[in-house]
Order: sequence, then C-alpha cells, then structure tokens
Amino acid sequence: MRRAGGLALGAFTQVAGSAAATPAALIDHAVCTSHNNSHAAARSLPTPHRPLQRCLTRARVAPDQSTLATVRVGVHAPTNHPILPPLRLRLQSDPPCDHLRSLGIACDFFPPPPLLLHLEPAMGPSSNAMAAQLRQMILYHFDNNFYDNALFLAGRLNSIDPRNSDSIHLLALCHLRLGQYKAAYDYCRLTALRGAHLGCAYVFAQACLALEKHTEGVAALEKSRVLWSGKTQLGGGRHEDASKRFLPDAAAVFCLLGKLLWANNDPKRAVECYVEALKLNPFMWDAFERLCETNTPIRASAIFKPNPELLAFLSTGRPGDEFPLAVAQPVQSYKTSNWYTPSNDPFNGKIATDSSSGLGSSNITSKLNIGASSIPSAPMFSLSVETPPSQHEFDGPLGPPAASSTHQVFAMEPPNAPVRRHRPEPSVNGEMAKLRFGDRARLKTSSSDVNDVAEPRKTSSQIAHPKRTISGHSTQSSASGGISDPTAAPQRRSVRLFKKDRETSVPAAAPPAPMKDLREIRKVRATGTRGRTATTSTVGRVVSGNRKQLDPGEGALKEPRLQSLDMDAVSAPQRPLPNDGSQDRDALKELLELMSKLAGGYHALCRYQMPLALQCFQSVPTQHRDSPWVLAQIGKAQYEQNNYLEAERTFARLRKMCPSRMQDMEVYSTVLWHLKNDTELAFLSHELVETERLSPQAWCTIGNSFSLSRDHDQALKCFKRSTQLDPKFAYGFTLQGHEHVENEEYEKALLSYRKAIAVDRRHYNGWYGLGKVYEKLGKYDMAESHYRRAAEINPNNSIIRVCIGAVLEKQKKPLLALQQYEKACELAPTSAISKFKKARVLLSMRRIREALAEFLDLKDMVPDESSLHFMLGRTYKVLHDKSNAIRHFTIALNLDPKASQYIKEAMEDLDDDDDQMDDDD
Amino acid sequence: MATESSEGEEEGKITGGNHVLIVEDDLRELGKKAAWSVSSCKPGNGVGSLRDDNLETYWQSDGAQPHLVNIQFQKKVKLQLVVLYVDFKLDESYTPSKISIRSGDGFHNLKEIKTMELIKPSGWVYVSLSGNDPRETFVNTFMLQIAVLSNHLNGRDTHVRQIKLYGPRPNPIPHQPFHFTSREFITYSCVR
Repeated sequence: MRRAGGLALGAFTQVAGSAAATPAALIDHAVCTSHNNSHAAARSLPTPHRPLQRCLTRARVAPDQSTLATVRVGVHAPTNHPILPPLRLRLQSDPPCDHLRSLGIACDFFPPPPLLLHLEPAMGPSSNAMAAQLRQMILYHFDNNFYDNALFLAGRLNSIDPRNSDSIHLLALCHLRLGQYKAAYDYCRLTALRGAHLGCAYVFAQACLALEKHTEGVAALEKSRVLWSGKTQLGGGRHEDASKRFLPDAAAVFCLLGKLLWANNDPKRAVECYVEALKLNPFMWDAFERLCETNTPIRASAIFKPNPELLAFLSTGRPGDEFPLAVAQPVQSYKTSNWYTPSNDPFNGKIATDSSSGLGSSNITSKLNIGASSIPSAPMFSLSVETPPSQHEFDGPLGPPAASSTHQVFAMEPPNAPVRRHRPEPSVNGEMAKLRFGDRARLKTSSSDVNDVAEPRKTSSQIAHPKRTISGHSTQSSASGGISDPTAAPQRRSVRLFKKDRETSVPAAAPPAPMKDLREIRKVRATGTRGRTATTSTVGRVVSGNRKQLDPGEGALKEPRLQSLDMDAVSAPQRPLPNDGSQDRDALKELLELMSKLAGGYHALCRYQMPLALQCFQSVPTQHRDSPWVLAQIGKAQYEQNNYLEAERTFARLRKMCPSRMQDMEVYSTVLWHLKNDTELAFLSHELVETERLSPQAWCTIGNSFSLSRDHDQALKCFKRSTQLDPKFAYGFTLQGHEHVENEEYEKALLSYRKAIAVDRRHYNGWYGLGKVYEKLGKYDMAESHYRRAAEINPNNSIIRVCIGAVLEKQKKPLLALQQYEKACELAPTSAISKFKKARVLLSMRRIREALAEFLDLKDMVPDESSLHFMLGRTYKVLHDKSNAIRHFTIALNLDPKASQYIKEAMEDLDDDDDQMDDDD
Repeated sequence: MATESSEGEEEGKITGGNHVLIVEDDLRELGKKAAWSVSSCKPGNGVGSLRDDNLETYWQSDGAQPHLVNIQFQKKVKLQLVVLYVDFKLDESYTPSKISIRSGDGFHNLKEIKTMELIKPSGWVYVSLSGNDPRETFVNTFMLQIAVLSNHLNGRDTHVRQIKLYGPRPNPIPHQPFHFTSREFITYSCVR
C-alpha cells in the first residue's frame, strides 16, 4: 500500500476520503465481514452511508497490474434486507491480496481498469460497470424514496457520462420527484427537445406541465412520438414493486400530452389524447377524470369493456403482437443498453437462478414488455404475422433465454436492484391485495385466485408460453380443434367468453387513432390469424366491430387497484392452471363493472346529473360504497342537489372513516356553512389545519368558518391563502368573490370570480358569482347572460334558475321569469324559494288565485317566513280580504320587526286600491 | 339632499360605557371603506390611532375647538351606529363631553343629525343614528363628521381612542328589502 488516502468512486468519496478508509481499515473491515460480523464491519468503517453499515458482508479485493487496486466490497443483503448492489471502492494502493488470502478472504482479480473516474473521462469497461452500479444505487434509493440520495448519486452518474441520455434522464427524474421542476426542466431540456430519449421527453414534459411551459412540453412529446406511440406496458408489464419502470408507455404519454394540451388551450386535441390514453389503458383514471372535466360526452357505460390490452393482461395469451415484439426486442435492447453486459452485472448469477426457479419469469415478462414498448411500430408488426415460429424458439429452453432476456431488459430500462425482493413478500402482498380488493370472486377463492391472476401474466411472457397453450387448449378445445397457432387461441377464447365485451375490447386494443398505420398493420395481423385458425371469421368480425366502436373509450380504474392486482400476480407462485382464465376474467369483468359504475357516477357528477350519479354510486357493492372516495362523491352529489342535510351526514361519515382525507373537504365546509353549523365548521377547520396545514381545503374551511361568523376580512385572508397554496384551486377564488360581495367590493369580486373561471371554465359557481355581482350592480342583461352560463354548465340547479327568473323579472319579462321559476320548481319540488318566487311573479301578473294557492301551500311548508306572510297580506289586500291581510301583515311584522317600515307602509296603504307590486324589489 | 334623516337635534346623555364591544349581528363595520381625516392632531397621535384597533393609543387634537373627525365615503352608505371608545379615567380633561354628528354630501352641506352629551364615559359609547320613525333606521350619506364640541373639565384638546361606524348588512338577495327569516329560505337562497 503506497498511500494511505484512498479514492473511492461516486458517493463513496467521503468514505474513502476519510482517514479511516485507509486500505488497512478496509482490510480490517473485510476481515470483519469475512467472519460475517457485519456489525463489526460497520463499526470499522465510519461511513455515513447507512446501507453500507447495514449490508456489508463480504469484501473482495481486486488489484490490477498497475498500482491501482480495486477493493470491491461485495455487498450482500442480510436475508431480510433488500439487495444493495455491490459498491466498489478503489484504492490507490498495492493489492493486499496476499494478506487477504492469508486471512481466508477470496480475492478477485480484475483486468486492469483504465483510470479512476474523475481522472479520466474515457468510458472504459470499468467505468461502465461503475455507472451501472451507480444506477443500481439510484434505483435502490428510488425504491426507498430516498430521493435526495438518489439525486446525489445521479449527479455522480451524470458526471461519469454527462452526455448519456439515460443518466440525464435519471438525474432529471430525481429532480422531478423532489419537486424541483425547474432543475428537471433544465437538465433534460436539450435531450428532450431532440426527441431522442423517451424518458427525458417524459420527464421534461412533466416538468413543463408543472412550470406551465406547455408548448415546449407538447413539442417534446410530439418529437419523441416514434418512441412511444406503439408502446404499451399494460399487457405484460408487471408493475410490482420489484420492477419499477422509469420509461412511460403510450398511455401514460398520451395522458400527459393531454394535460399539456389542455393547459395549452387546445381542448380538442387534449380530449383526443385522453381518449387514446383510455383506449390503451382504461385504468388511466386520471385521464378519465380530466375527460369528464372537459365535458366531453362520454358513454360511461361503454368504457368498461376489457380491451385487448387488458385481456392480454389477464388472459392466457396476448393476442399476436406481443410475440413479434418479443422477437424484435433483443436487438432493440442491446442497442440501448450501455450499462449492462452480463459480466458486469453483479446480479447475473442471481437472476439466472431466479428465472430458472420460476419466479424469474415475471422479471422476464416485464423485460419483454419493455422490449416491446421500445419497438417502433410498423416493422415489428409486419413480423407479427409470422410470430408463431419465432415464439417457439423461445418456448423450448426455459432457463437460458430467460436469463438473457433479463439482461436485455435491464439494459433497456434502468435496472432494478431488488429483483429478488418480491420473493420474500408474496404472502404479504397477496394479503394486502385481497384486502384491498373487495371483489367477491377474489375473496371467495383467495389463494387459487391469486394464482390465477398470476397465471395469465406469466403466460403472456414467452417463457411461460407452453403453459399458456395448454390452458388455452383446455378451455378452448370445443371451440377450435387443432390450433397450431398459440396466439390465436387466447384471442378466440376471449371472444367466446366475452361476446359482449368483445367489440369494444378489441377495438380499444387497436392503436390510437393518430397512428393509422398501426391500425392497418393490426388488421393485417388479424387476417393473418384468420388464415391460420378456424375461428377466423370471428376475429375478423371483432376487428370490424371494433372500429365501429372506436369512439371515446373510457376507462376508469384506480391505479392502486391495478397495482394490487399486479402484486397479486407477482406474489403468486406460478403454476399452470388449466382453468386459469375464466376466473381471472370473471374477476376482471367484475372489476370493470365496478369501475364502470364509478366512472358513470363520476361522469354524471361532472355533468351535474345528480340523480344519475347517485344512482350509479348507490349501485356499487357495499364495501366500495363505503369507501372514502365514493362517499365523497356521494356527498358532493347530495350537495349539488342542495340536499345539505344528507350531504352533511355523508361527509360526517366520511370524516369518521378517513379523517386525513383532505380532498372535497371544502365542499363539506360549504355544506356546514349553508347549514349555519358553526361549531362543527370550526371544529372541522381546526382538525383539517392540524392534519395538513398547507392544503387549500383546510384554508377554505377556515375561511368558511370566518365567513359564517361574519368576519369577512379574515375569511378573505384565508381564501386567499388557499389559492396561494394552490393557484389551480378554483373554488378558493370563488369564495374570495363571495366575501368581496359581502364587503360590497364588487370590482374585486368580479376579479376573483373571473380568476376562478380562468382556472376552471366549468366552475359554475364562478359564473353564478359574476351574475350575482352584475345583478347587484343593476346590469340585469349581463347578470342574465352569466347566470345562463352557469345554468348551461349545471342545468339542474334550481337556485340558478331562480336567479335567472329574478333578473328576467327585473327586465320586465314576467312570463319568461315564470317559466324559469316553473323549471326551478320542477328541478327541486321541495324548494320553497322557487315556489315563493313563482307565486310572487304570478301575483304581479295578476293571476291572483294561483298566487294565493301557492302562497298558502308554502305557508304550511315554511310557517316562519315573514316575507311570505307579507306577500300573503298583499295578496289578500288585492282580494280585498282586509282582515286576512292585516292578520298576515301582523304575523310578518312579528317575525321580522326590522322590516317594519315596509310592512307598516303596506298596512297603511291598505285602503288604497292601487298597489305597486314590484316596487319593493 | 344627502341626509335622509332630517331630524333635528336631539339631546341625549350617555354615562359610562361598555368594556366589550357588542354590536348587533345584522350590522357591519363600514369605517374601513372610508377616508378618515381630523381637523388637527399632535404628532404621533394622528388619525391612524383612531382606527388601529388599539385601545392604548389615541388621537389627540392640537388646535381650536371644535375638533373634527371627517369620514368620507366613495359612495353613499347606510350608517346606523357610531361607536366611540373614550375613557375618562385615563384621559380626564381630554375626554369629550359634548359631541355632534353631522352628515352630508361633503364639507359644504353638512347637517347636524345628532348631538350627544357624554358624562364621564369609560369604554365603548354607542351613538345610534336612527330616528324615531322606522323609515329612518339609518342615514344614507357620503360623509359623516364627528365634532367634539367640548371636553370634560373644560379641557382644550381631546382624546378619542377608537371610532367605529356600523351600517346594516346588505341583503344577500339583491334588491329585496327583506331579509329572509326562515331557515329554509336562507339556506336555499344562494349558491356558494
């Protein structure tokens, strides 16, 4: 050892740089670890790096021929710890191998590494490997949500190879996850705008969305369209916790693109994108929600047909296209892979064993998917016609291909350290998934079910292929005799099983509209299968049927659910079940049914069709109906129906169930505001602010609380804070407007309402507020047009109708006003105020008997309303029923002594015949 | 004419005062919308002290009587109640004893609507602007002037610690003289 000071790579510079990291210390350390005394090892190496402390078990020393030695500390996780990839410390010292050997420690000799990282920029094989290891570490930290660590390491990785898109991607991704959008934006801007790297483009676009640089984001995504347009990861992609992917698939990109376009004031294209995203992956709930918010007419019920992606996801085999993709994959993946070559991969051995053990297949499938996703569409698809043979190649040897493909996968996509992680966890995952899933089928057949779910996935991968064929045959035997083409089988079976679903599903599978060529290719494929199989005609029909139905597919599944499904699959031991498909399909069907109900409800809610929404939500199984999300939606629907009492009850239940839920709490607070329930409101605001001080909902609640106690300035401050916290929180602006109105600051109120509308054009409360201000200012025509905008958005709100009626009355159009009031009464038969207004306008139109009938009716509903008695008095006055008139005037006076001036006036004029009906309002 | 309340002088006497400011629920503070000015003040005890919600600070006049507080609004407002915080125990000869309240479109046509005698007041003193007739519950005006005509113990300058102005709350339903009284009507009369 020539020098005491060591030099370490990347993150471990500090380690090696510290005095204790001398070779001697390392050897001590190695000795300790060789005796499997990891605690001692950790103590001997005073590193701040905790994983190291936890995981060191073995040290290998690899000297080179020159003076450089590489001490490689192979890090192996204790059994209960996720794998920490080997980290390598390189020391400028003589190889202490002999010494180590004498201590019984294995020493590996490495070929001479070029030079140390920071000393020489050339990417030698070892720096390649170092980068790969860094990458592993980054992913490890991603997995554990240590984004700061990941960021640091990504910085190191990036300095190893600053021009590599992958490292830029990782670095930007770190920044993005840390919420440092600008940094993410800056880092990947060049790469993204070149359109060469999908990950960069995606991260860039997300940063753009956050930074509101929508045009650039759209440009980046469009530029890289080739990279993602054909991709889909749903079918075979395992999104279990062990394999995170950092490259998006087409559905994700479409969703993001839609958001960007929407923000960029291009609603038409945005809607198209959302639709595409949903077509590719109906579980894109986000896209669905946004689609609802765009007020696009969607047939919610039609959404939830299993589309081909889903079927592939579940069914035994994925129709056709997967195979060609798989075949093509190796090429692709090698192209992109800089990092991993088998020899460099510290996990090589591991993975191979894994795959052979059967669990590996899931990895492989994910790999396959990745490969598939990366494949540009057209040429591959042409391959697809000839899929079967190529597939068989894969079928034969289970083990070796799996291993190799793993490597490819890793190369393709950021490699994942914790490949093995899922192994120890299966039971837990399964449990969780079961718990989360309310599905009956699932609960019923818990263990077998899990297996089932796993099964289809496995089959979708080539490795599992034999199983698939088996299962396919068994289920299908009656339908088709000799099926030489494995791909055809699953399709056919699905067709048979889901006659109903088939139409939508297959079309949905068809690639998104913009990519015409893809679709054509697919058609070709379909015909190809037809030639081969007996069921051709069905397939053909399906395809055509699809196209008919291609319009907005709509899907809604919540991500978590999907994930849990995945977890199921992952954790389940894979064994071929002959009947695998049907149960899965039933589960899927049920799931989709549930989702379609929820989606239908949400859609109706967004379109303010409350009865329909409530009906949808009520129809879901109890365990879902009692979930916080559904309860919140029900509460909102009841609120929008002006059924505040029910809404309060619903929200109170929701609070009890899920006190930490912040979403929609502003609605609850408004409900309480309407009900003048100040204690509950104050309590709620305290609780919310304690739960999450920085949420706009909490501040809205506080504001409402102040508003109810008539401290409008204070309320205004709170509402302002809510919009400061989230400038996209339209309701916060509207509430500000209301408070300004209370303070009679009409200009400011107008501004606030307009801000609300700018954020969300479908925010009818904002339009209503504008109408109210204009009405107060006496600009009745303006008020009317704004009220009408509000009514357009929310056609079923009786209060808005009443307001329209009021301004129409002001404009001396009593007949039209009457129509509005009648409509309002129709919408809300129990609404006293619409009835009251209607009766009043009847009175002013001299339809006195009708008016009287209405008023008398109302008197029973609301006996303590002074203005009602006042109007009754007037009505009797017109009818020359003096005693009754005086009686009701007196009641009115008693109920509202403050209005005595008007009432006394009216009583004094009792003898005058002429009677100005409208001058009082 | 700006002042709708055309009532003449009405002599009233107020003793004592409230330590807690209690105002009816259907009134709201309007002073914050007004421009406030005073006829004179000592440096450090300016007009700001009248509106700072701090009972420790006070406005102190520095000139000849009467000492005036002018409150001008951008638009006509309905005013119903003036509340002053004065404290004889602290301010002694600086405590106002006779005040007059005037209203009008501007300085040129102010008309006295109320005069009030304060006898050793301590705390919030309420001066209602309402007349006897129910039609004259409030004053609809552009400007209000509060004049301190004399102080206790013949003091020259005056101390006033706070002045609040209240008017009726506007009806949430535009152009309707009535407030709804029933819960049913109130709750379901507006969108929020």
